[in-house]
Amino acid sequence: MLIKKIGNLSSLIITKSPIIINLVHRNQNNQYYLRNIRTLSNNSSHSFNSRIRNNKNANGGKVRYNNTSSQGQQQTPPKNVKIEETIRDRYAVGPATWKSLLLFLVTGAGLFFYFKHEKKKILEKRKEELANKSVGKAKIGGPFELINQDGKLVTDKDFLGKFLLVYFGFTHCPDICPEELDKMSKVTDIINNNEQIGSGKVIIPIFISCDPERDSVEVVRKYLEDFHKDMVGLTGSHEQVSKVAKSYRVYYSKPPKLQPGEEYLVDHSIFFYLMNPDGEFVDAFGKNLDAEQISSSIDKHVQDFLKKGGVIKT
Amino acid sequence: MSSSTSTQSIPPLRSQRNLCWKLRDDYFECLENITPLINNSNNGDKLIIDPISVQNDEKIQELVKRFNCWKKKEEYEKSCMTSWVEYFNKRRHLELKQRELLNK
Repeated sequence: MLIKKIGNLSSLIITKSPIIINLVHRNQNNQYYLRNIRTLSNNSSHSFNSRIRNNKNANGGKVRYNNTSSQGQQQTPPKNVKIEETIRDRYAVGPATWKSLLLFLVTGAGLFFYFKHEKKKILEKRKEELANKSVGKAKIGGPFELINQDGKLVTDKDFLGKFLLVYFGFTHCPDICPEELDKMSKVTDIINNNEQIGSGKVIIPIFISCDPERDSVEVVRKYLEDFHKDMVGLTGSHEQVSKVAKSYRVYYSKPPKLQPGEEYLVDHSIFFYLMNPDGEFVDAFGKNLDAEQISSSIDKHVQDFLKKGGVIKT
Repeated sequence: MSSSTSTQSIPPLRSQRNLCWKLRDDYFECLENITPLINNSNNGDKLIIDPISVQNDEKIQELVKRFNCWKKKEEYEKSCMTSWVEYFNKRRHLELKQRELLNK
């Protein structure tokens, strides 16, 4: 039924289209004929037609219709050929046949399912990538080489296997650094007491001086005595400090034109940087967050890390 | 403690820091308390009594002395590093300015 409807529609389009009207002719048996283009220019009023379908007759030979008469008279072909071709033509619904329609549907369905399958594959791949991607696409952190409060040269590799909470400050800081370092001590205790992994040490607090001219190893060691016993203090040469500050995108600046011995304060950005046991940046916490907020956020990151198969050194 | 001339400047440790902060807060509180007293007894001109104006204005210094906050000022400046005093004073000045803006 549907096929017949499509056929009727297509035949409607064909008959109504002005171009087609001149080229395609329908005879009294509702069969379509394509006008012989060769004769069109000479006498378009003549209904000199040739068949769309093959011109074979019952014997297999070609049947050619010569219309010598004028004005609408048509030579009727032999009856058996006519019947055979009529039957064949009846199954040709407009320009479509069963075969071509079937081929069309099969191809269409094939393409549809193929694209659906490919799209699904791509979506899955993307989901997998997102899940596996480590948190912290920001390029913060990187290799460093500094001197700790015991005078030992340490690099970033020495801290792999544990989470790190890094804070940049200076010992002559009026009140912000001490407050932040106290906060860091609190966070360290909360995290290390929560996560029961081996010896219990999940996170190490690190203080990096951005005032190496005044913050020698001695000064840093004395300074740290007031804070968490696990806190690591790092200092170094001007170049070493400048390099690590750059890799952490830390802003810091001394006042210009300083007299020797003159007091000064270092202006610097105030953040805690959380690094995971693989040395990758995870998150940054601003001054506005308190110890509880930071701890719960770090807790979540630690869980995420362990879930993805990360290992914390014991 | 209030200034250092050596290249190896030792920063104040926790106890010293805490003392400095306490004296700072005492001094600032004193100034805040005497501000309404001073402004009420004035001819209507509202003076801003903050650490910066105290430093710069002699007239205000006289008032502060009269209302017994001068001693606190001296104690505060003695126990904190010079750079810290400057920093705290500037911050207090900004804080009071903001408060005034908000109250308007």
